[in-house]
Amino acid sequence: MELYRLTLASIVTRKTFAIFAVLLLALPFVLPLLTPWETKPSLLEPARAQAAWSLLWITALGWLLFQGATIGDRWSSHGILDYFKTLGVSRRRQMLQLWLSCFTVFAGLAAIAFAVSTFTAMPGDATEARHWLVTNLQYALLFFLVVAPLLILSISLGTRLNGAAAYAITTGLALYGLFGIGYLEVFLADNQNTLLNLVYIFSPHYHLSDLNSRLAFKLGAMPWLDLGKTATYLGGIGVLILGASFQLYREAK
Amino acid sequence: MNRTRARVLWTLWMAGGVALTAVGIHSLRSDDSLRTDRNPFALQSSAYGKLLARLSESTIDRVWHLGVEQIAPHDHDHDHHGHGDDDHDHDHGDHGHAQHDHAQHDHGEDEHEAAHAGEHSHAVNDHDHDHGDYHCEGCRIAAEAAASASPGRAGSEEPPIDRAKQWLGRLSAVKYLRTNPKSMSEAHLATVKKDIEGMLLRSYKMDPTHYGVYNSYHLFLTTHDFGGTESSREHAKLIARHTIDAVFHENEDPEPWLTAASAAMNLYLMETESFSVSGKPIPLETLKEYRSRVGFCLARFSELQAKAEEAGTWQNLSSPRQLEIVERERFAYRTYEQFDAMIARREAPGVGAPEGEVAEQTPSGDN
Repeated sequence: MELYRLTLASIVTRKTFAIFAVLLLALPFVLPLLTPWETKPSLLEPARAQAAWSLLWITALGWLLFQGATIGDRWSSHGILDYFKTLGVSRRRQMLQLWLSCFTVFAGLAAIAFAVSTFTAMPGDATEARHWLVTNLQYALLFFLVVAPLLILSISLGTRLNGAAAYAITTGLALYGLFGIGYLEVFLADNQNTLLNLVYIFSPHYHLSDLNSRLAFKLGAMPWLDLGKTATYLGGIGVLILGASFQLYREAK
Repeated sequence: MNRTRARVLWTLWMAGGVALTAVGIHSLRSDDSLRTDRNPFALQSSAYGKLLARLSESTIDRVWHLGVEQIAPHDHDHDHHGHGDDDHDHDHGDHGHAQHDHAQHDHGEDEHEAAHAGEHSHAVNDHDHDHGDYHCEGCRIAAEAAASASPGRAGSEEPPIDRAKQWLGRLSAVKYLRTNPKSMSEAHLATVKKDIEGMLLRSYKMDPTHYGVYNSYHLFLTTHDFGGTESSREHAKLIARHTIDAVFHENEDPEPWLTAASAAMNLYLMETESFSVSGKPIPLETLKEYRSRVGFCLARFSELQAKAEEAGTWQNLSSPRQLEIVERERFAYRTYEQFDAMIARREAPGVGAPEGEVAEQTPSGDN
């Protein structure tokens, strides 16, 4: 686990995660106060949960994927990965250790968002509170199924391309899956073009993992069957990304 | 051998991924769950959506002044948050022209008396805040506080910080100073109006229960001069119903019920305009139906406003905001009261005068 420790030490030394940690701790309590809650104080708690998860998405797209891309780039450019290869650390183990080092720090940030959303915005009613907790756990699962494979992709692309390109490609894919597909859908509403429809089908529908609506409007937990379908789909995409990342990974540039 | 084994394993891995994705996509497509809700991070209709809808007002207002009125926006004080006392020098109400809506709709030649009465009473309201006629104690206090604040402010020396802010405001206003002697072309003007309509639609999606946003959007959909067409007028009906639906489950905040009352009134005006055009009397059932609808919204407003006052949340609003809501309430009530007059007129035996005369015969409250 030397590569893991080395990478983790590098991330911790840089301390950029601290900025996001402070934002994740502070903004969910500040941002709701900017909304027109004066005559509707019940807006505050859902807004807090919404802010926590939205900021976690921003942290994942803005910090986590960037860390993955730059570490992949830096370690392969500096010959670190090649060195570990000579020590007998296989590609699979290298990928796992790099991924784990980035995700260790990010897991702390995700825990902050989860705790803020779950415990500082929990509804008073017992049934609603149970739904709230389950929704947050479901959200965490789907979020993980999207973000974890994208991180390994950014690392692999970083080892092959430069960090900026790897980050741009991975973030572009994530943004397309979260927001871009909605625009494609509008375009396809009165368009029967087979190619575009195929693009739509084979696009990564990451928007399925955004459960903010369930929290903001207190819709209750996702039915388990539906969660299973969504998790299967996102898990399948994750498996494919992981497979592609394995081929893209290079120990040396 | 190892390489072949690795390739086989990788191929199996990818095949597994394809199978999982295919199973997932098939089941998601079969119950139409793959479709996006076009509301990333649940922004629309959330607390942040409400905030963005409010923030959009100043942008839309600026575009309106620069593009449609072709004047610099800086001399205007629109103000919804109550810089209020000095805003009598122009007539926009607070939300981009929302409040003179009934006056400008092209319902044809015939404005219904309810609209006339509303327009008239509102015009008076704009310049006369101290007449009483409040439906709640908090409303009365807010109005009195605002009225008593006026003379003091006018006569006193402004603090240096206010003067500094005004100086900065005048500096930034230079950006919008129009020096082109020629006005915009008709085509350019039409484009600006469509742009504003697009902005209003975005704001409306953010918060369909916001009074200013809803009424401004309604105005753009129904007014011919702003690009309104017959089909957009149909859309305006849909929007009004959508607003009422969106407000229907509101049990805490009183203000959206005034938006619902306004939407119900707009629906009434749109659905009865054909009667006025043809000179036929509006069916009694229609009058009663809309009296009931608008009345229900206003009753809910009063109920929730009283609750908010009791809970102390009403006091969270600043006095100018309270006053703003009070004025809207008074406007809505005066419009609503015309239904009684119209219905009484229709039910009186042997009286066949068109409804339009009723407003003229009916004393308009405390004007």
